[in-house]
Amino acid sequence: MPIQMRENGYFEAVYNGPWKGLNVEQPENQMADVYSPSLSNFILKHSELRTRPRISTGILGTPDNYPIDVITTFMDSNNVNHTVIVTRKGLWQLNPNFQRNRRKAWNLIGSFPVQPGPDIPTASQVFLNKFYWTNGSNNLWVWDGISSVNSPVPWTADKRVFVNYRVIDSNGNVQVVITPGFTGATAPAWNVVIGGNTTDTAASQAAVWVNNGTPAPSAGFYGTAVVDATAGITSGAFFIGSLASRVLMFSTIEGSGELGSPFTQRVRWCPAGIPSIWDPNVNIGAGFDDFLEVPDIITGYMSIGDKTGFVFRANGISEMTAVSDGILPFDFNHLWASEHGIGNVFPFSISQYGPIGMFISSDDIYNISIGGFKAVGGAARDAIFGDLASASSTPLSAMIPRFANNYIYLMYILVIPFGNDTKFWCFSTDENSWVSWIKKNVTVTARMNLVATR
Amino acid sequence: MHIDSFIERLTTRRLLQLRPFDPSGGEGSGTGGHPYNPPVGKSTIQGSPGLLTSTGGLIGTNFALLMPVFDIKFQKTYLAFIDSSDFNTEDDCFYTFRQEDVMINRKVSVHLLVVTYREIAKATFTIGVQVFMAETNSFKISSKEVKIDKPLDKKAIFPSGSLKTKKIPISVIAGERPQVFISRKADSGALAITRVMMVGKADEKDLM
Repeated sequence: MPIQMRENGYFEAVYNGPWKGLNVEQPENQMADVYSPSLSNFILKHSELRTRPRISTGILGTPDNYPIDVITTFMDSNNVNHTVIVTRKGLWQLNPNFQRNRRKAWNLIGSFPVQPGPDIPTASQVFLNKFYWTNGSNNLWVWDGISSVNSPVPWTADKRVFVNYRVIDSNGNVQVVITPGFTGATAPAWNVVIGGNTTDTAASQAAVWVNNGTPAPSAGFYGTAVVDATAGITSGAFFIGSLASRVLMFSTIEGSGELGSPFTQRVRWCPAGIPSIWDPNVNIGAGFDDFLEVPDIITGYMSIGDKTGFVFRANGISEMTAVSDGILPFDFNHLWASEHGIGNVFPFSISQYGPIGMFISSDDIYNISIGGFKAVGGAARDAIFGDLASASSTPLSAMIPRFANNYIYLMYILVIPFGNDTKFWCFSTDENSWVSWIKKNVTVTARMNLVATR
Repeated sequence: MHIDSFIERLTTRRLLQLRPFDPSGGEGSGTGGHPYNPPVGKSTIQGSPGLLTSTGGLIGTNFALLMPVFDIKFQKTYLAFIDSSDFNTEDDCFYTFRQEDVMINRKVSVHLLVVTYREIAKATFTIGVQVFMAETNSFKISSKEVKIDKPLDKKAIFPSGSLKTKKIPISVIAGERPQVFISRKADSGALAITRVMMVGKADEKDLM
């Protein structure tokens, strides 16, 4: 609001919202009065300058005190919710009675049967009521929240089975249901050829199985992505997503045992609706594509709708469109393949809420939606990039539609480690404003998430 | 007691100050729950008939915004709870407004600040003005500590959630480009300021 001044020199300067947050692009005396040249730990919702929400100890970590690499909630096929975390030890589930015994908040579902990936934020995806995760090792892990202990289970007689149900056959191979139906009174003669089908012995509506080779490791949860059943090669990745009823892996790590080679330009997919099978020789719906026609590596993924996704590269973005259910189910359109261009330079800076996504390129922070790209760094861009340049570790991000059921505020929150402290840059899509928060003496180890606690 | 055990108790129970979760469906304070059950049993939640029962699990009625962190000071991992029912920030907060060219390159004096705020909690904060002193090529500050507290009327509801105003006289300060600032020390209460007004007088003499 302009200064009100009387003839005798008396003046009043009034500052009102809606506030626009930090501005480091204009001199302190030339910016609009809704901006601030410096601020910390405020939130601007409802045209208020409100001190930010308190951040305190909610739930203690696991007894081994390993860093937590992901937290999320998924609903299993019994409509039961599971809040899970992953550490380098294994998969843990939140104890529903954790408030009574806060030192035992987490129940160990299973330990990694092989060396897991590094302690980096783990990519995860909920698909068909199961929790899938992978973090830079050669395994894609899955837990169904139900009865995965020692999974896959042996074949059982006279049982109704559905697509994706897995058993160990009498030869030690994993058999996966591809046609739902019933098992018979006696075990079938299993097809020993990888990719070969076996029809069960039920008199009618017999289930059909496919041989998926030797099993990936399991321990409560199990590895599922056998990408070359003949050679026993499994795959994990740094990024994971879904599109057109398929689970996708990006920037894969592939190998046998605990050895893996990185394929930083590779996209892998499973057949539609069958995330237990990843070998194209077992099911032709599985496959992969290498982005050899572009010069850089994959740094993330987000999907827009059921048929279109964006694969982010360091200097570009590739549009991924579902075109068929055949051998080549996806069409890739590299929006640009230049040496330098708008891409995602920080692997964990991509976050999405519905049709809105945010990522950080070399020159700005971008908002991507069905309508296209929009640079949103605005008046705070240089301060954010200054902090990114001084970060002591990898930045992370999250897009939060609400802080609680009664506190709705869509924010993109970028978390930057700063020595012993952590700085948060928060972008409000309501006001197009940036504010910064500081939390002392903590390092954030994974993306924040709104999860079930009861 | 063994020293390691003692330190761990201090770390995990007292200094980290566990935050309770509301068992009633919202997010906030409260307690509840049942005695601890051993891990990986059958779910207490009813599943669909004919299906295998779930391994543990939750009903999914309460949600909390949790952030995995590692505490550098206490060398502990935990899930930080971002509590939108409590705006008493545990770290220092500050907000500066723009510098005002009331009359470009002239001295002005400021003697009063008026704050309009929503009463959401007790709070103590500092509000003040900084000016540039051309004669000494330095900055000068005049500020005052302000308390938001229960009204004298003991029957009044506190916090009321309504808008209130405080007029804050400060020591008269004169200089160029006055700039209002607000600062609040860690754990000093929740602020929700909707308007700030700076009141003063401008020098009307010619520059030379």
